[in-house]
Amino acid sequence: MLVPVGFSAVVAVQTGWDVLAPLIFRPRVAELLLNTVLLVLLGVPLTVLVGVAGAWLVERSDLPWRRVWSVALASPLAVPAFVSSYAWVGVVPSIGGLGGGLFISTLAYSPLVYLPAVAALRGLDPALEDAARSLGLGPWAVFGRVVMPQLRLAIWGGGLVVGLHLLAEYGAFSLIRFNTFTTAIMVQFQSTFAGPAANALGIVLTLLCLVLLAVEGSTRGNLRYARIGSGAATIPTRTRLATATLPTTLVLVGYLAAALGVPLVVLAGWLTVGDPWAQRWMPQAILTTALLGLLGAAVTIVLAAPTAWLSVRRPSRVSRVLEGAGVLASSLPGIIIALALVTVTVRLAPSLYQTVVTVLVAYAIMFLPRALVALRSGLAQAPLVLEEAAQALGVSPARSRLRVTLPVMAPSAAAAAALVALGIANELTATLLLAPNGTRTLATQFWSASNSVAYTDAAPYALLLILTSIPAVAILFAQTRRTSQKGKP
Amino acid sequence: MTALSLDAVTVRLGEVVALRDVSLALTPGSRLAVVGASGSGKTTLLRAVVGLAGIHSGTISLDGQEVSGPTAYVPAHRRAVGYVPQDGALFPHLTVRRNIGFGVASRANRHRHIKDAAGLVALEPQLLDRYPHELSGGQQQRVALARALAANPRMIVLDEPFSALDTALRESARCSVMKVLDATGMTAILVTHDRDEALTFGDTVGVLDKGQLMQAGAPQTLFDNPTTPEIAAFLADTCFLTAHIDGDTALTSLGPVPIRHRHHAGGPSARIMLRPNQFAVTTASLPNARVMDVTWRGATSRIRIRATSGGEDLALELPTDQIRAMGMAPDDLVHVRLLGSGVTYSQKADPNRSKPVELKVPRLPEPAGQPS
Repeated sequence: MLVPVGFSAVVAVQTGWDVLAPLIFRPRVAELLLNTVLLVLLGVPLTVLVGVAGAWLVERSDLPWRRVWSVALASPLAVPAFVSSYAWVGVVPSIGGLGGGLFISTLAYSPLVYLPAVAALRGLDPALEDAARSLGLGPWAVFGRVVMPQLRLAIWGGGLVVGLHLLAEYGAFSLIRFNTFTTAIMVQFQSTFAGPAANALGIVLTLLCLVLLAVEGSTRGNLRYARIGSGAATIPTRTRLATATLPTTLVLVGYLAAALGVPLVVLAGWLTVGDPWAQRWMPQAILTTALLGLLGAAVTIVLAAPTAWLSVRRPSRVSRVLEGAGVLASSLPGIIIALALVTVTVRLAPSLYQTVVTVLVAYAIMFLPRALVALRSGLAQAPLVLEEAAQALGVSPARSRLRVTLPVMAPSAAAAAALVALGIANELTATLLLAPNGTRTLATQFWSASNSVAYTDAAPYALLLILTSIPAVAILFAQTRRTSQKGKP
Repeated sequence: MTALSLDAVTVRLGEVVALRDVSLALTPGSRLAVVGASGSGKTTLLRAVVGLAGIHSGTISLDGQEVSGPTAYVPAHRRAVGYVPQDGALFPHLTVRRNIGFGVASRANRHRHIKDAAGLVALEPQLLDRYPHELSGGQQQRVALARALAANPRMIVLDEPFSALDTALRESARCSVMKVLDATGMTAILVTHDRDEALTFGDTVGVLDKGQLMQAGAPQTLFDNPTTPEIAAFLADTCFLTAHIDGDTALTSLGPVPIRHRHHAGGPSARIMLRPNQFAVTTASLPNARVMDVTWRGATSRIRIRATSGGEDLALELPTDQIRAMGMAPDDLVHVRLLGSGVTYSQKADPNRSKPVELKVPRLPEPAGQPS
């Protein structure tokens, strides 16, 4: 799991400072660093603003059609960022630079903050807000002094995920010609394979990633907010939007039109040109995507299961270290994971280079936390006492796991598999670098077509990518609602 | 032969000694209720008997066969001890029918076993095809009991099975469980923190404190003769009065009272324990106490009194009608007469009072006149 983390350190040591220094301290790296840092520094607050505002409107205001909005504001997640870029390039060909990057990121990644913020707001005790109101605080003061501090964990967590996505994103920024470390590494890799220049950029990207993790870890704190008391939970008092209702609704419609409407309309337009569905490699791409998704999900679940088991049934320092290693490794951009596996396979196991095995290992590293979270929640629904009850009824420990624990956690395992498989279906960078020559997936075919400005050819793949993402978003949304329901009567 | 015997059983959970030198023996068909506060080791005792918790020292035997000890360890699934965990632990993915039939080994007789067990707990047939989440709390408890019974265990243990139920449902669920146990003649252990439940359920009641079995005996015996003030207070409301001992009589600020049992170390002074219903309050002449306050509690009211000669406040419970008829109010002077007899304890903590006991439980004759 920690191969990608160790990779940067080993490469740095082996390459030597004399070689690395000129590769790192040059104007090109300074430009990339500025772009990437600005992207994170501005992009994260923007997504937090949009995500938290959406969550507050849905959970704490009297916005009309709140149930519809609560689903709609999560739905942009179904549009991969690179598909969003592809659509916007079609509408505004001049889109690009930092502004374009921030625009696309905000559209694509705001739901990553919106979902945890909704969950946190639903779990908060509305009595605290009522108490603040009774103490004379107005709606804005209540939000700023009571709600926001309690949303801190959700915002920090969501912001971290957005930050990591911004560091890792390749396709979306490459299409709008906005250079970041990840796009530059990819360019270097395509021209000089895993040479010192690509590795030097990889080291800086890994450091940026670790800095982001460290900042989040050190500022998150240990406070946990939960509803206390045994009485029935009260219904939150909703702030009246009054005359702000119409403008607010228009802003939300505008956001959704940009995040969802434009890609769908553009796709529909391209799909009516010629016969884009009659492409030679489409059946193979669908089949390969499905196979890689299924195999990747199976491998990831098998790898995640022991850690999930330990963390729920035998929590200890070892289980925490295992979990932490998985999360740390998966936090690294796909490009770093891919570079690490390229280097390791080429040097230590050449027969594994550009094989399905290596691709599956990369997927397992990238998507392990998704499987862990779902498996852990499934195991939590099958408490040990059920197995003990089965044993007291004469069933052996092994059979009690098969007859009780496995069926109870099966839905969560299925959700874990679906989340991983659907993540794999959208994965681009690691697949481009690691898959055997001639491998065609929906994402790579889309990339290949859109990169060649064959937008009509890319359209069906983009649509299929959106369709395959919908179940994952639905599962995430359901998990958010379930998490926030816990602790409620 | 004993159905179950524990001999000096000690269980450690990490650094904590959860059970210390517990010894008990149950004859077939007996019912033991173990009562204790949270963390006293009740659940650990049951888990050790079921085979879900290993023991550090001592032995546990079922029907004379050692199942936990230095030379043997029989795993839970081979002990045939029915276990009804707290909250039932019904399998959420199985219907009631399949829950009840889960532990039935014989496929041929499974249907009959399920039907019999459901009948024993008076479970309506239409509930058999429902899932646990579609049942009420009381129904879930009956299914858990039926599931344990259907597996044909040699004895059954119940871990606070009624704690999640509301008061009225708890009593009816307890009655139906007792009926089932009576009908099957099954040996049973119930652990609970509810003293009323313990006194009602068991032929024998054991008091567990900090992993030690402090006192055990017939419910009436325990109620009448608790060996420590803590056990007395744990089993029912108490009133303690400072007393001067004169032969078989304790002389208190509210008058003399005969001594029923002595647990004080000797000497002229002691504390005597009475129950709140042993105080007769009147407004007759010769007042000996002052009403400090009156708290209405519905059909009864709580009054706090203090002897006119001084001393500690006593909280008594009287019918509200009586208090109204007497027009009782704070600062009134009243006459308090002590009824029955009491149990004496030393003024200071007695170092011997935490000595654990060894419990031998015979099958007692049908309990009669148990306090409820």
